This record gives sequence, structure tokens and C-alpha cells, in this order.
Amino acid sequence: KTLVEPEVAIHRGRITLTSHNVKSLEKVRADLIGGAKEKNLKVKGPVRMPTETLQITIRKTPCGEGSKTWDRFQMRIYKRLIDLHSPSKIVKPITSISIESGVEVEVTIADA
Amino acid sequence: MPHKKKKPFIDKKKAVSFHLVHRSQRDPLAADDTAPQRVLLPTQKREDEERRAEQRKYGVFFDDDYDYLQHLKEPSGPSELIPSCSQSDVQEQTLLIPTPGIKLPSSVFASDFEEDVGLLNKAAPVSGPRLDFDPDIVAALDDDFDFDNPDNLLEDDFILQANEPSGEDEQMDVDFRRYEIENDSDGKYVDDDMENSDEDDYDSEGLLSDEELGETQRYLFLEEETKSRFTDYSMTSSVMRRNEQLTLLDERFEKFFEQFDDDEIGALDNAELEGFIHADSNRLQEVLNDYYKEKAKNCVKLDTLEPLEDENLLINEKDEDEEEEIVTVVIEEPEEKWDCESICSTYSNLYNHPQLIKCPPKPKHIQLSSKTGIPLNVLPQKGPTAKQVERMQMINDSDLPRVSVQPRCKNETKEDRKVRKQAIREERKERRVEKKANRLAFKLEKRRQEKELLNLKQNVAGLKL
Repeated sequence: KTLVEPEVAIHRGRITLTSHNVKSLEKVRADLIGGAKEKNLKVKGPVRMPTETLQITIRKTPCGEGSKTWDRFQMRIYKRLIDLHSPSKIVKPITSISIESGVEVEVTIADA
Repeated sequence: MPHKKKKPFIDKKKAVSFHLVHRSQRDPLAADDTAPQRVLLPTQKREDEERRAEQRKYGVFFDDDYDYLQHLKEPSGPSELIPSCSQSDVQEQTLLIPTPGIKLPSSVFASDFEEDVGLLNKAAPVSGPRLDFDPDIVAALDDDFDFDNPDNLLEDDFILQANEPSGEDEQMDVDFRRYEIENDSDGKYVDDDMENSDEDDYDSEGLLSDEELGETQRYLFLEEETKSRFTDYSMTSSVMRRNEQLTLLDERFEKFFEQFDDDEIGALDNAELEGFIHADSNRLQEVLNDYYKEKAKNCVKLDTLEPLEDENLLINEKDEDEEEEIVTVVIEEPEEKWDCESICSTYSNLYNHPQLIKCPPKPKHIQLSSKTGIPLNVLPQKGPTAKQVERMQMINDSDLPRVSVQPRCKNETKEDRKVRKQAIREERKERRVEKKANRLAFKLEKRRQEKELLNLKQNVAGLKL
């Protein structure tokens, strides 16, 4: 909610972090929230969405022979949401902070 | 509390979405340290159905939610911010107009134009002193090079001069400078030649070397020792072209490593010598004499033993008159006497296993069969005759499988059970009958034989006929 016409437009943005690796995900999340808090932005964070477990159960054997054993493979997808109220120039350092492989970052910015 | 509909934080239909990705290598800002290395790339939100139709146009017939079109696109041109439309447009509109509310610094986005070659694909610039360039070239590239100095100018016909055949004032090639350094007589020409040939093309020098090689080869190669510690007679082992400085370094290296040559480390005594020596030369005679002397020394030792004993005797004889008789007793060491038994006792039982001596077994007499006359136990046994085989294969009544032996089937009805039990009882009955018959037969036979024997004993035995 803005007061009189501000010089700096404050955008509402939602950052969605997706990964199948919890540690790097949490690290990126901590970096983001820490960085945002240092700049005294209003942060609503992190909302942990329920993790999606993608499961595949497969016969172990390449042929059909042998006792019927099955392999169970799993991939867990973790999702975190961070809501920010930030002026536009702050977006720049935020984009340059966290560098972690395997984490997908999506930024959704609302119209003010 | 009455449930109030919450206003969503972000109205998805009016919001713009981006992915945070690494900056493209072709982006000129990739080399810039101040610009952020990650950029926001707008996402496309499109209806599934239209997308699938579009995909089918290109031959992709999968019906999942994945956007295969992202792989079909050619590398996009300038990418800009566009509003995401809920009504699907066929293609992404390359609009430059962002939504009025959103203002973001441009460095956060990918640059408008991209270079042709990405940063990673460019070759690394070579820095530092380039040793493989001619010093004249390096001097020419230098900023302080004086282009107006008449000495530094190329002559107009420098190619012709470079191609001149070798003579007294021969134009030495870069390749041949090595020889110049070694052949001191030609050393003085180096300074003269440097001026003329400094700015020659490497290509022309290559040609030159091929042409001149024949002539100069004759009197230079023969004297030239091209083997060094690092290269074995190889001319092409140097990757960088050898100019004077580099050659100098090579020479120095050689000299330095001379120190580390193995000069006779180890016993000199075992150094192998090769050569030819006459049979009657002095050296050989000396060697022979030494050998004989050594042999003589060994022989002398034995001789000296006895004279010593004699001396003792002599001394004793002298003292004999004066003192009591001293009888010299020569103590001989007792020689070991061995006989066949005691020698065997010295053998270790590891290898010597004493045993009683056995008589060799008597060979058995050959026994002839009374019927055929052929020696027994020699020929291989014959198998069964054809008749016997046939009889064996004939199925007897007793071989047939009996009901009592067969396994009981799991799901048996009452009738089946009754039938089976009846069959078993029948079999048992029959078997009893058989047994009784057998017993009886045996009894009778036994009685008969006993009677016979008794008869024989009483009546026949002892009869003289």
C-alpha cells in the first residue's frame, strides 16, 4: 500500500524456489531472506508448499527372468515461496545474490 | 469468524513472471563485473491446447504439459519484457512496452543485442613476452620503434636478396643460425644478416630452407652434432621456432645438464673393458705372473707345515740329553670313519624315509577258463545278451505303480477318497496273498533240501563202489 506518489515504485513480487535438493534450496532461501531483511524490505517468508514425491516402481531385471524384484525410485520436489515488497532497484542485488545449482528461481511481479 | 475471501497477494492474471537464469555468454555484459550475472527472463504462459496444436504442427505428438516448443525455437533475438496474456496469442509478441506499473533496471534483463561469438568461445589473449617472435619483430611492434631510421627500413628488393644462393656473404636463414653459433668462423656474419633478413616472411624463409638445404647441407650437416640431451637427432623437436635467444637458452641448458651425466658412479673394478690385446703383450704377461704368484703362495703353506715339525723334533733332541726323555706325541685328528649304516644316519628324515624291504610280490599264475580255454580276468566283461535286455525291458506286473505309492491329490472329494482307500485295501490284500505263497514255497523247498541232505548222508556217504 503506497502513500502519496512515491518516487520509487514498490512492487509486490513473489519468488518461487523449486528444487529437488533441500539443502541448496534452504541455502538459497536463507540468502534471499537475509539479503532482503538487511535492506529492510517487507518479507513474508518462506511458505513451504507440500513436497511432491514422484515415484517410479520398476522391475529390476532387464529381461523377465528371475524372482520378481522391483526397484522404487523417488524424486522429491520442494517448493518455497517468498513474498516481497521491494522497490525496483533492489531487484538487482537480489538477482545477483544467490548462486546455487539445481535451484530454479521464478519471480512473479504484480502490477502495482 | 466469518470466512472472508482473502485478496491474493499477487493477482496472477495481471502479474508478470520471470525466470532467473544465468546471463548468456553472448551478452556483452557477461564480461562486465558490475552487471549482475543472472538475468530475469520472462516466462511464457500459454494455453495447453493451443500449444499442443502448435507442437503437432512440428511433429511433436506428446500430450503432456511440457512445452516442447522451447526446444524448437531458434535462438531468440532481442528478448524484452512482455505482459503475459491469458488469451493465447499464436506467437510471443516481441513488444517493447512493459506494463506501466513495473519499472526495473535494465541491467537485470538480458541485453538487447548479443555478440556472435560467446565469451567462452573466444580464445584467451596471449600475454607476456612472446619469445618465439624474432627480436626484430618484437622491436618493431614496440611503441618506441623508430620507423624513420634508415637502418630499420626494408630494402625494396628484400625478397630477391633473401633468395640469393649461399655464398661468402650468405644470407643465413633463421633455421641456420644454430649452425652459425657453432661454426665460429661464420659468426661474424650474424650481425650483417640480421638487418637484411629481419622482416622476412616466415613463409619465404620456409621456402628458402628447402632450397638452400641441399647446398649447405653438405658442409654444415656433417660437422653438426644434432644430438642433444633432450632431442635425439631430431630437427623438428622444437615446437617454437628457434631464434638466437632461444638457441642460447638451449645451449645453456645442455651445459647445465652435463653436470648430471653419470660419470663413473660405482666401482671402477667392474667397469667392462672392450678391446683387443695381443697374446704375448707385456700386460698379459704381468697378469699371468701375478696369477702364478698367488698360486705359489697357496702351495707354500702346505710345505711350511712339515719343516716346522722337524724343527720341533730337532729342538727336542737337543734337550734330550739334558732333560728327561720327552717323547713327541703326534696327535692326529681322528678321522671320521663311515660305513653304510652310519652314513644313512646322517640323512635327514625329510628326504629319507626308511622302510622295511618287502619281497617283490609273486606273479600270479595265469588261470585258464575250463570251458573256453581263454585266460580269465583278462578280456573285458561282456554286457547283457539281447534276450536279457529284452527281458529287462518287459514290464512286469509288479513294476506297475501302485495306488498306495501315488501322492494324494489335494482337493479330494469324499467319493475319490473312498475309491482310493478301497484300492489301497485291495492292494494290501493281494500283497498278503503273495507273501503267504512265498513263505510256503520257501518252507517246502527248505524241507526238501534237508531231506535230501539227510538221505545223502545216511545212504550215500561212505559208499564204496
